[in-house]
Amino acid sequence: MSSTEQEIEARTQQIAEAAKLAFDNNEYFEQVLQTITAISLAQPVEDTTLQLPCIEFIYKVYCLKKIKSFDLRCKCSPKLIDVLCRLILPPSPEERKNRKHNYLIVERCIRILGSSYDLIFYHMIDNPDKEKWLKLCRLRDFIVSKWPSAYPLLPYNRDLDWSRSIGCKNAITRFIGVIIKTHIPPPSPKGKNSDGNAIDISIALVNKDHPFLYNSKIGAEGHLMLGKLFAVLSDDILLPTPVFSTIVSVLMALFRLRHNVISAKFLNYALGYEADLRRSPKFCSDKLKLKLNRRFNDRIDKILISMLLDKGFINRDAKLKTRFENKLHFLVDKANTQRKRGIMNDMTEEDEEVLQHLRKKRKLDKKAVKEKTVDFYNEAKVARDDEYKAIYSLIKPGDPLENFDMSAISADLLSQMVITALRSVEVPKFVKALNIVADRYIEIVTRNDYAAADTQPVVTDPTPSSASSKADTQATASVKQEEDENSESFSDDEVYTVPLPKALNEKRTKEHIKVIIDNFIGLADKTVKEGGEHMTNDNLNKLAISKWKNDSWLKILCRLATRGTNLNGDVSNYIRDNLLAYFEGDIKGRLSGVIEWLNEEYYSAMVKVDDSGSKVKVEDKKEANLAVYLNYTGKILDNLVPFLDVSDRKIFIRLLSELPYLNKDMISKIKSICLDPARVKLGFQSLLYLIMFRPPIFNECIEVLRDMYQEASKSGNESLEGSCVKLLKKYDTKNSYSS
Amino acid sequence: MPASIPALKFCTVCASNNNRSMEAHKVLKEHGYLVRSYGTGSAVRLPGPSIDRPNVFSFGTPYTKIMEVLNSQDLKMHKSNGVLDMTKRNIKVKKAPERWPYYNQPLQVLDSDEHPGFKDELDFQVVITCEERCFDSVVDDYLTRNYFDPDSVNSIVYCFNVDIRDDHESARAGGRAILDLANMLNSAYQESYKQLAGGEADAEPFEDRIPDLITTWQKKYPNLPLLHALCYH
Repeated sequence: MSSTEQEIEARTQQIAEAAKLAFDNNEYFEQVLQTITAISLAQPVEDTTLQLPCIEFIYKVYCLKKIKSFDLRCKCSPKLIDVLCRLILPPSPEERKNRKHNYLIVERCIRILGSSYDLIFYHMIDNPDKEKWLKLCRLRDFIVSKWPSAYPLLPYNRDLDWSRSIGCKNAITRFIGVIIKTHIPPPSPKGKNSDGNAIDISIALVNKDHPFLYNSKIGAEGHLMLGKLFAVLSDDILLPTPVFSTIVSVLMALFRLRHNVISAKFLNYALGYEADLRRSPKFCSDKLKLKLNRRFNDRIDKILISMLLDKGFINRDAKLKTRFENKLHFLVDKANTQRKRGIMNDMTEEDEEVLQHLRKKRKLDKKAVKEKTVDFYNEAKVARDDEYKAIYSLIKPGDPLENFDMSAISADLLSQMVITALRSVEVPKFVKALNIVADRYIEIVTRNDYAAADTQPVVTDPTPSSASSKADTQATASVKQEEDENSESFSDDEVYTVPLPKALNEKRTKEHIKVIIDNFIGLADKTVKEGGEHMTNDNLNKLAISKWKNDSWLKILCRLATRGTNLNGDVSNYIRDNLLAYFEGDIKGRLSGVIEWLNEEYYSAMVKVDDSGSKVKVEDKKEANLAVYLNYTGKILDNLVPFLDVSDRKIFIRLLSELPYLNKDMISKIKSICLDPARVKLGFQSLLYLIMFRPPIFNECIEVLRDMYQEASKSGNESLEGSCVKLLKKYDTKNSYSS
Repeated sequence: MPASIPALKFCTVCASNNNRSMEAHKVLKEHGYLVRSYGTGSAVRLPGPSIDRPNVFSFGTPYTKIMEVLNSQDLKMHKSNGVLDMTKRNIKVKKAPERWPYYNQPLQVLDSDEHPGFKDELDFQVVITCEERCFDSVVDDYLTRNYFDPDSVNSIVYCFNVDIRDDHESARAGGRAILDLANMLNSAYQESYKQLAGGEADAEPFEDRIPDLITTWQKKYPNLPLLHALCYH
């Protein structure tokens, strides 16, 4: 045995002896507690060898009440705050490194807190210490916030976490019961319990002049806890039996102590509970385990109902008593039927159908309660390890799939698999998966110890095998180093390069692009709940999409056509044709999208013009680059103009005003409207708008009017001629016109 | 980490603390467990000379005295139904049948000297009842303690029911099944405590292991339907 081990054993022995002394002679208790708390505070939190015996001593005093004297326990209770806070609350960044919670210690601490919270409250009534009280509140709020998670174990998913860390969960449930009892006054006036000896510690004992305990917040916190407890009970999941039993025990205690606030809810819960109608937790495939769970919970409910009836708790209300009796008969009959059938035998199909129907009905009744679905076994937003596997894995740890070597599959097959998976997966589920992975990344890189590791110098190979390796980042070097360590067959002489993926042929490229376009256009019909967008006044750093919106898909496709695939004209035009086809379906209704797309086309063309150097070339280049824009704008106008109605005035004028560029050909398309007697007004209003509000194309508009005037004169269309002359006389004052 | 982790303490319960709970008591005791046993009925009822005249004894009546009464009756009948054998067995296990220590009722239990290793009459972590109505009585009593004396309620007790028919042969088979359950619980408890105290990353707490453990047990003993509840006292 090493000297350190001997020292630890000696100290453990000392703690045991001190504890014995305190239990045998209570007058030494205060001194022993002082010493033991000091030892605990002096030891590293993760050193369970000494922390466990220290906590065990406090546990025996406060939970097992080995110190009988209430006054002594109460007097010393505030001394526990520092120890409990240190062992439970998240540590400061300096302490966080290598810090891991020990389940046993956390569980013991919560149970100690549950047994001492009301004592500390009582002590604070006559000995106010606001600083300590606030510290205790912080600890209380932290613990309660962890209910009903898998704390202190790392989470998996909401359903599964109900049956994990049951000991701590139950300890917190009981602690919540104590908070409710302490923060809500009893129905009878303050003082002693009906049995006359134990003090019912509650807010009712606090005097009006207390510096911090006499306020409405304390009471509100009690009601908040009560609400939290019943909110969890209203969840339609099947609770594990130990959790269900504990909740019933806590409610039973509160039923007596605070029946004024709890009895109605408690009795309704007992009466309405039926395990068969509760939803099975996801990922629990063992039928027998679920069957046993339902059987156990129903039995506890039966015992509770029987007890409430036998002890006369509900005798006053005859109707309620009848309901309880009926429920008891129902449960007894059900248990008898189950016993006759045998625990291992399944229900008949008819019974299953009835249950399915009832579950659905109850689900519809509870529709108002919005529930998050559980999609993956491991939905934890915290990576369990500093490995890529821990970041990406959403399946059950230890699942045989984890060890499947994906690298054995050819790249082609693998990409086919991924594409098939991406096609078949539901979008919200996929988004959820990506969010989980993203959260784990963020968590892992923001971990203090990880950050510290980043700052450590990375040993790199002094003789780089290729010039490109010089450009490797520190992170990739770290990864390489790690891979090197793991690889047994690594040879310095061999340089491994990842093979380039095979280039797709034109047909395959189009197939892929079509899938992408179809998926994006498919999003157009889906409504998205728009979240608050990250706003910035800094236009240089402004993002086109910071939150997904209903029209984000269009923005992406437009940019893909104009900027993303600009090296491949066929692909770009393929995207454009698909966009055009989409808009042709309902140009009037999708006008905003049309304008956005064509603006993007114009912007992209102009950027390309700017990129070219000399000014001489600019005008030529502009015409060339705008060809795409002009082509598709023309097509849009050709599709829209014939179907315009007089009532579409606003839509058409909006289009004309927001299109970034118009030439004479485009404006000429308005002629057909002017020639139609039914829509002539719309045509001339549009021309007038352009003349008045788009000065750069003033001349083109006048030219179009002149052309129309001449055509009308030749054909003898006096009405059209008159309308043209009216505008020409006003705006083309250099020439004279006669009608 | 403590050098040795104490084993779980058990309590077996049936109606009269004479047959099923005593068989389980004997088996568990023989395998080194600390055990107590109780009956939840109002008195110890054993088969009498005829079906309408059972032998009724109050709890606390020594098994030796019960034996005397049985010997004074029709010996053949008691031999054939196994009552004589079970009473002989009981004499070797403890002094007298004890009644479950119901809250606020007079104790009908043996002196603490008779049960070394137990601090009080409820000092155990596991209760195994042998009949559903006994299970109901035990859980009801724990809930009553929660209701009337919530401040004193801080110890956890895992309650199970293994439904066993009240005859000598079934009690033997049931005793073996209870021993199996006790072994499974105790090894899970020991292993879990050891791993958690040692700070093992993948250690699973004892409470979290119980649902799987009892499912495995139930698959092994499909004819002994199980019940379970977690109680506090």
